[in-house]
Amino acid sequence: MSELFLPLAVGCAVALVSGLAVVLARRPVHSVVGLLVHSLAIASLFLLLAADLVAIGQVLIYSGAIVVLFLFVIALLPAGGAEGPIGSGRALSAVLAAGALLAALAAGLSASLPAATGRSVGGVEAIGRSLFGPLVVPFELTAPLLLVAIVGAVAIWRRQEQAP
Amino acid sequence: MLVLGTSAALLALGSGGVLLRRNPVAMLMSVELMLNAGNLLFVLAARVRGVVDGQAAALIVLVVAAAEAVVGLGLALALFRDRSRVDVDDPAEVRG
Amino acid sequence: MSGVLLWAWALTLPGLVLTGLGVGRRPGSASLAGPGVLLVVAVTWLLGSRTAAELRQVDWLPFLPDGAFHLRGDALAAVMLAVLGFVSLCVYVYSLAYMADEPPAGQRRFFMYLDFFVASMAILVLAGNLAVLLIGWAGVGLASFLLISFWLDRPGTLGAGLQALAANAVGDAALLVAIVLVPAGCGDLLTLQTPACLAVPGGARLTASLLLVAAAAKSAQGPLYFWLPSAMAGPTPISALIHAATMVAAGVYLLVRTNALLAAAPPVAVATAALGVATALGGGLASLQQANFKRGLAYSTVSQLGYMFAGVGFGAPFAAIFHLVTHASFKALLFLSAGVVIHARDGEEELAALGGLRRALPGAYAAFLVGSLALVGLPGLSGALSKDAILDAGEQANLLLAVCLFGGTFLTGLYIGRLFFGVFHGPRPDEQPIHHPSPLLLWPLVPLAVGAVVAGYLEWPAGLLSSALGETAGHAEPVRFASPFGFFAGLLGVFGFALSGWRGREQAAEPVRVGTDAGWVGAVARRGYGLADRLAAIHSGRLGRYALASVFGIAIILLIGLRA
Repeated sequence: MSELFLPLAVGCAVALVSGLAVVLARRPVHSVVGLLVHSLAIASLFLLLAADLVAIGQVLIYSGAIVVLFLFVIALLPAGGAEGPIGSGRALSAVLAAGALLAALAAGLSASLPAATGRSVGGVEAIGRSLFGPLVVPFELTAPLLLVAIVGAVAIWRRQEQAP
Repeated sequence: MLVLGTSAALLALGSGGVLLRRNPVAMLMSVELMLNAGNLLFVLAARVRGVVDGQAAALIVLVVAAAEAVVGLGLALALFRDRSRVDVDDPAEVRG
Repeated sequence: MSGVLLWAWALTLPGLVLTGLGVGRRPGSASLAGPGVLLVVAVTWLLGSRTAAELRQVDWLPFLPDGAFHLRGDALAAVMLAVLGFVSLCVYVYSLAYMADEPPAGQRRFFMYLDFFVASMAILVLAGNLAVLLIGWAGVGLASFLLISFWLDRPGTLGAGLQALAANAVGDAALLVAIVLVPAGCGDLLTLQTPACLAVPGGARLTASLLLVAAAAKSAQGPLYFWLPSAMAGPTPISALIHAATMVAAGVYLLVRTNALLAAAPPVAVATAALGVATALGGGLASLQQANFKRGLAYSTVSQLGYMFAGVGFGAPFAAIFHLVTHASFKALLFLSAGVVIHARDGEEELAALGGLRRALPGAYAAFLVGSLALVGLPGLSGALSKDAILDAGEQANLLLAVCLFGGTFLTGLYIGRLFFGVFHGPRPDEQPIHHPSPLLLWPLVPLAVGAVVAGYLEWPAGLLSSALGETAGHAEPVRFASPFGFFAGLLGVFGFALSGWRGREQAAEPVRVGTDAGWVGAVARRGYGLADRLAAIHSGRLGRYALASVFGIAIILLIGLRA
């Protein structure tokens, strides 16, 4: 895995820095650009981890659909979705909470690091077998989830139209 | 190890973003960061353990993320509709 | 037959579909078959071979420690299903008349919600592990919300429904954490094969505490009582079925199912008993202060559920189930006869505007009297026998708490007497017209009244119920009534009941006010209100605060969970 170390490190760094940009950018448009870079970086990490199908899905769904959706919404927003000032108390509590979460994760995850098996897995067929085998219930549940999401989004919009 | 740390850091970063930002769209983007962190961990686990289930779960998470973005953005648009500035801290806005 | 019992939860689904499609001369008549067949199936099973059946669909939720789709039909489930079928059949028939003024679409919606509720409740009862139980648990919560808020155009119904949802969310969260904490193989927690489960990290105590919180939220115990009185904003048949007889008893059912865990954690058992006793007394006191007929009855339900919790906490789960069975019958009777009164007076629920209805509504009068006497425990009626069982258990387990419960029976007599004499005796406060109830409203009261009188004899003297339940509800000894404790409790209740009558109708309708000079009761109440205000301030509606609290909470859970 040593020859993969450098690309992985670069991908992780890009993902983290762009994630930081998403969180810290003042203007939502900049955040969206950050999100785009971030999702591409994550997709490259997926590729490096031998998850080709997930990487393709990530590019299609995230970079393609979700980021564009965010862009559309921001274009529709009045004043580009300007945001009120962020108080120092809020920033402090956010940093504290994030730090607490990170500490908890570090404490939990450092205890259990399994050694990597050399075998790499992947391939559309194997994923398909998994999706329609042990994971069939969650997989089927995504169908009603999407339906409900679509109906819900339309309903939210419609109600707003009736009562301006 | 490296990816594991990145995943944990991204999750913390995303949660910090949710808490920090007052703009619902920016909060949603932070949530997407957290979902990506989870996905990264799934794929990493699939690679390390040599089973493919993690990748399948990551695909399902992608779908969930799409649904979440649709509903969340719909809500954000509805909130933004009649005011130029939206603050999730306005208590009156979350009344049913 | 046992296979049919397992699938009993599906029995109301055809009715749901047919009602939704608009089949039947009256909206909702297609749904009637569901609870009827449910009752027949459960009773046939109980009278027949009583062989427990199981269904285990293994890799269903692979990410949970115990995620198999596991149904289990045993005696406890069958008894609960019989109660569910019996009460819901009466309520369905009653609703045909009670909801007849609604537009047909509204009636169809009402019956579909009811069908959904009965199906969810049956899943809850038939669940073989906590994961499946959670499906029913959340389903009945949802049905409760939908039915409380059924009349969305009336003020206050949505808020009442949301209160119920909020309290239920506390319970769901506690149950969810318990599910994740319980290690694999412990779905058998529900089947009382607990030795393996007691090796839970953090011990039995943590899991038992979580289950106690979940049960308290569902059954409106302790600080989580608040949603049940508000839930009375829903239609009265719903108050009878969901918020008196069945759903609110689900918490008791959960604790009875897992009573071996409770027995392994004595401090939690004592806490359960103390919570139950405190709620029994507090609910009784609160009922005395209500100006609204149905809210007075709702606090009575809170109080009686407290008796059941006390029974479980005393280590007598059978007594709790026994009281659950009798209570379902007489409390449903009380609510349905209250519904007759409310229906006859066009939805009037304020005690001050009701009175002297004895001559105008003799059927409701007789039914309410029978229900009241069963509730206060007139010796010989069902409530006396089951309450006696709980008090007997308490006498052996914790005398102090038992004496408090004993005093509570006096309160029971006082509050139900106040409602009874206030509504049916004395002069009529006004000359509003009274609609005479249709026979369809009165007939369902008959089987419930019979149940309220004779349900106690299922157990005493022959011990039929305890022998049927066997070991499924803990070690069930036939109720013997060794001590005269319960008998005197019944007399005390009747004395309170008579005292209310003697105080006369005028004072009876007057809520007992918590004034500045009401002594320690008022002081406690004011403290409580102050505390509630401060607690309410946490819920500022500011999303950021909520998110902050959840992130810290998740961090703490991770620290505990991942280190263990």
